[in-house]
Amino acid sequence: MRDVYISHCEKDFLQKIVTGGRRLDGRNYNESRKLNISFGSEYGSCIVSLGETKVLSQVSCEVVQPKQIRPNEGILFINLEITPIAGQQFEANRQTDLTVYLNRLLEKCYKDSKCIDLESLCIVVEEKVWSLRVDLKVLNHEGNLIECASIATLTSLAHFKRPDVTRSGDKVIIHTLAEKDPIPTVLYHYPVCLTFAIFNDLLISDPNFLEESVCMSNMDEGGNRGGILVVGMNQYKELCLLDLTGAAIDNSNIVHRALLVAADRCKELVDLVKSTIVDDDTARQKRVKKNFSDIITTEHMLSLNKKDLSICLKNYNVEDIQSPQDEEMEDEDVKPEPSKYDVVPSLPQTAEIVAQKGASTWIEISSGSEED
Amino acid sequence: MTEAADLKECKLKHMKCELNVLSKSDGSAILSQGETVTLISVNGPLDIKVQNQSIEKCYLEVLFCTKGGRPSVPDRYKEHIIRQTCESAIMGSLYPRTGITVTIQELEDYGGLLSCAVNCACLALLNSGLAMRYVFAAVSCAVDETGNVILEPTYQEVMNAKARFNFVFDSRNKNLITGFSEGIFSEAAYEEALEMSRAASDLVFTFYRDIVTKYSNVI
Repeated sequence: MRDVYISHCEKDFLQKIVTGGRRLDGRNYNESRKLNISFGSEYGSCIVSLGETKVLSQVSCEVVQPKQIRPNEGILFINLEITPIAGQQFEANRQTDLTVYLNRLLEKCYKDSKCIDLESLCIVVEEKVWSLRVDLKVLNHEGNLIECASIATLTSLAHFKRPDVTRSGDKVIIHTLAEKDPIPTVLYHYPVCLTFAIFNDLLISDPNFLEESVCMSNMDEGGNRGGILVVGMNQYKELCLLDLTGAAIDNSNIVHRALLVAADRCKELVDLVKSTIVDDDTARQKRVKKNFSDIITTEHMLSLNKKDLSICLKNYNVEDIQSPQDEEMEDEDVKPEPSKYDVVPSLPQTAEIVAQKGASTWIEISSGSEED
Repeated sequence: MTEAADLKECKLKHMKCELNVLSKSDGSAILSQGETVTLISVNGPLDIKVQNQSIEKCYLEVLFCTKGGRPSVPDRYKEHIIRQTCESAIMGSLYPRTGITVTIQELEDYGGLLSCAVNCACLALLNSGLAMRYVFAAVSCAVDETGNVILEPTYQEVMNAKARFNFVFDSRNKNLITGFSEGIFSEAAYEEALEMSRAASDLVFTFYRDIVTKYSNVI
């Protein structure tokens, strides 16, 4: 893995605005990026995007011999991979500290919390059990991989259905999907991992790539205390996992605050995951064909999920501006330019750059020829 | 166009494409051909290990990732085909001592994965802004049990086919730059499939043009 360097200017600036109560993308401290879940054609395949962070997940199953010490339990295997598709700093087919760390966290969260009923995966004691394999591929690394990966794991596990099995004497018949309806996986509870970045005494949920790296590098330079706190919690507000990387916390209040935020957010996330799965299931029962090609849209031209481009300077302090007229002047200067962006103040003291709606006209023209 | 009648006959699967899907990559594209979907990211030119550096041209690395499970030999084979195709198209001599990584992620496979991956790679390369000699288009064909040549076979047809072909053409003279076949077939069937694909590649090139004009205003 190549090193990613962040300039001192960037570091100092981010540190400054975070202590000043702002974030680069205009979110509040406790605000998360937009979550989007889309399903593939098979059971147990999904792409989860949290802001720009994207993770692909696929669950597969096979019949294997159980472990000697647990003859009546199925096997769950979670494997996360980071290929150069996630970012140019990653190299192919190489275990990095990051992948080991993420795999261990996911294992802790899903295997050790015993959220899956492994005994229901048993076919014949000591001979045949189902082995579930969750393959996670990071598609884009824009920070907070663990939260995105854990939502992807949970969604694909809850979405997955294994083929039905009948036993007749010594024989075991595995039915295809056409013969018998597949069986969903039994989940006792739904744990989700959340990430918090710690800047001294401040707690920031869902940090992006820059925030993650800055809060970790704070620790190296001394003076400031920074770190990343991962909290795994289920929908009943039960703690499943707690992990801290970075500087030691000397304030018990931080963990407590993180747990309070996490409790609400986990409930929200699990409800969302459940409802998307239910929606998908009803669509599938109506024989609507689902495919990953559904995620291809022509609505946005740039790789940003939410809008074409948004630079949000939310809660811009009025005292910082010398005179309000200056700001207006700037706006007026920008508008008459033959630019493809409009500067729209959606909130007071907010500047957002939104791509012109007129851009969609030439989309329609070319979409006609696409159907050839 | 002289082959207007021919073009009507050869119908390709519905194609959908989006460029710039990934924010961290230099170029990225997601392409669906029918129900087959691939996602490709291109990074480069990058600094690479000294042992891989070449003073004449860039080092091209192609990586194919399946959706689930471990990497296998057929994946390496696909990587090899795509690497050779891309290598002929990229003007590597402009980027000496550097590396270019093309990473392919399979999202759905319902037949014609290889041709979808090659087309998607071309779009991702276009999106990344690397200098290229020409663009390339891949078309897949199959010979069914009765000996008929099918253009862009469906998943069922691929499974039942006696032979499968993948042809890649360049945009300049419609020359064959990669030909890849498996199964048993006659020479006549090969010739027929080749001509059919060559005619069909026009449609793919028009599709590229549509996509690029759509995005070029913004990029």
